[in-house]
Amino acid sequence: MKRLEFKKSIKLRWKIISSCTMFGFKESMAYSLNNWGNLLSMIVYMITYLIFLDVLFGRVKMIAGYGYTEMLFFTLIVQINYYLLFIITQVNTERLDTSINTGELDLWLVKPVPALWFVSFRKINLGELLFGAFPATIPLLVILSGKWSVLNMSFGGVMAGIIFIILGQIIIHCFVFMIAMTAFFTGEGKHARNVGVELSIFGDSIPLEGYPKFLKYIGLTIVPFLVHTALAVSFFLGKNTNYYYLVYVFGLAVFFLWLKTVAWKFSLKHYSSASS
Amino acid sequence: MRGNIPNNGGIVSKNEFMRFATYTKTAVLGFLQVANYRTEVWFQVFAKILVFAGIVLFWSVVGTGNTGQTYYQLIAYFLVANGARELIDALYGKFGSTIIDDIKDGKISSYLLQPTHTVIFMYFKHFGTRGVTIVFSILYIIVGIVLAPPTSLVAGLLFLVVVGSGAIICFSQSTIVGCGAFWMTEAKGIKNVVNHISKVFSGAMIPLTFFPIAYQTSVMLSPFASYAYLPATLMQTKTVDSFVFLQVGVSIGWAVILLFLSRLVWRKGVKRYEAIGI
Repeated sequence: MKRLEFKKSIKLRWKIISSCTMFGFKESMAYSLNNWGNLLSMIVYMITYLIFLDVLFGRVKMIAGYGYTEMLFFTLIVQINYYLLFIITQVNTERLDTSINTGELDLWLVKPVPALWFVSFRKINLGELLFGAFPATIPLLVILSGKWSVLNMSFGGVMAGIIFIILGQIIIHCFVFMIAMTAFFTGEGKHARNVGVELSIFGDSIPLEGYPKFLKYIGLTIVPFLVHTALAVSFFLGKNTNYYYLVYVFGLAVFFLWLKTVAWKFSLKHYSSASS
Repeated sequence: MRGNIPNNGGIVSKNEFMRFATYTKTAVLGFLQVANYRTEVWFQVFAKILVFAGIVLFWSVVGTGNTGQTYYQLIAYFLVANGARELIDALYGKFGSTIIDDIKDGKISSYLLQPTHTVIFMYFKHFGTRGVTIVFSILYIIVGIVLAPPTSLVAGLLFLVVVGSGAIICFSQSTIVGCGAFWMTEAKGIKNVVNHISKVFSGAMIPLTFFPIAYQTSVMLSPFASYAYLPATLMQTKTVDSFVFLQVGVSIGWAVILLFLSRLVWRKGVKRYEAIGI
């Protein structure tokens, strides 16, 4: 019986994600001209960022022990993480804040679905993936295509890097989501959310090896901004081979998932609806 | 109170005075709306500190050996550059987003009916919501000046001129970009294109002197240089030579041209808006 209930619960959650994703995709396709604008925006962004890197490496040879090609790879992982974060976390925390501010959350809470799951994956913007993420990553992949041999990659490092991206995304999602939940207490969460976003991308310009010890400690524990990009790239490029980090980060992910659930329950108890 | 309002024979007409009073009241209202959420104000302050901490950290890792500047000078450069950029709303060009949203949501229908200059009214409305940001950007500039005090009075005066022309350039840029919504409803993609270009070519991410010599002059004379590079350089320059005057002159020129262009685009856009809806 319990097994059957578990199956049902998984099915329901899958249905929520797929329906919300389809709806989000249709919604994002509504403004076709703007989508082309977004595509152009990303191409321009990548060009300007590559100019920035070129200009910078015209003056310096290394940044925190990373050469030009390694920094290009770092940028690739930054982009992948940024879009995952944007598509899953940023969009949904924004919706959560608006729904708290307007009282729309009331309606969501009475739906016969797991509320936290629904709120977490209310909208997954595949349009953004199509018109933002691909143009941001494909040029980098093309540039890197002839340079893979320069990078010191091993099978173990790549696998660990991928796991760190996945676990890091879960951790940072929970972290940003918890910051966004301050809207339950303040009524408005725009700038709190911005802080969450800024913290989540704080580790996106410098490799892990460039951080002072105390920031590394903070970034891998209470404010986990270093896991999804900096730590992952460090393993991808063989700069770090301490595989105990896998166990540690898995534990951190479980802890943050638990903390998110606790914070959600606590916040709901203090939720005073704006609509009633 | 009435006695304070100049009559039609004065320099400022009664209508203009009342319009200005409306603008300032709108700005104050915008500020109060934001200040109402005090925790949010603190979060805003924290986010600003975080962004700047990122820049400081990045340059402390890159090192100053190849820049020809001391660490303090470089930090002062970024403080003034980002302060000026933030002050004139060139960081994200949010006024452009405001225009886009107001057009998309149809809010400008009611603005157009008011006896005010619509774009100026919208600007003041937006300006009020930037209260915390403005205070913070001034703080950035002050700290930057304290770290590396200016050595030339003329440069200090030119700094004020450039901040003024930069503000007009940014206002015009945001208006032109925002007007894109008259043609394509949602124009934030285009706004982002301009923002990305402005980020690199304003000198806020990297001093423009880092660029290869072949492109340096053209980048320094672009309208974006007035957002960050030019104000920051003026605060640190030791001698005001003819090239500095040329840069300031070009900045004023860009301000005049873009302001004229923005008026033109707005008028065309409004005509189109009327044709669609009200």
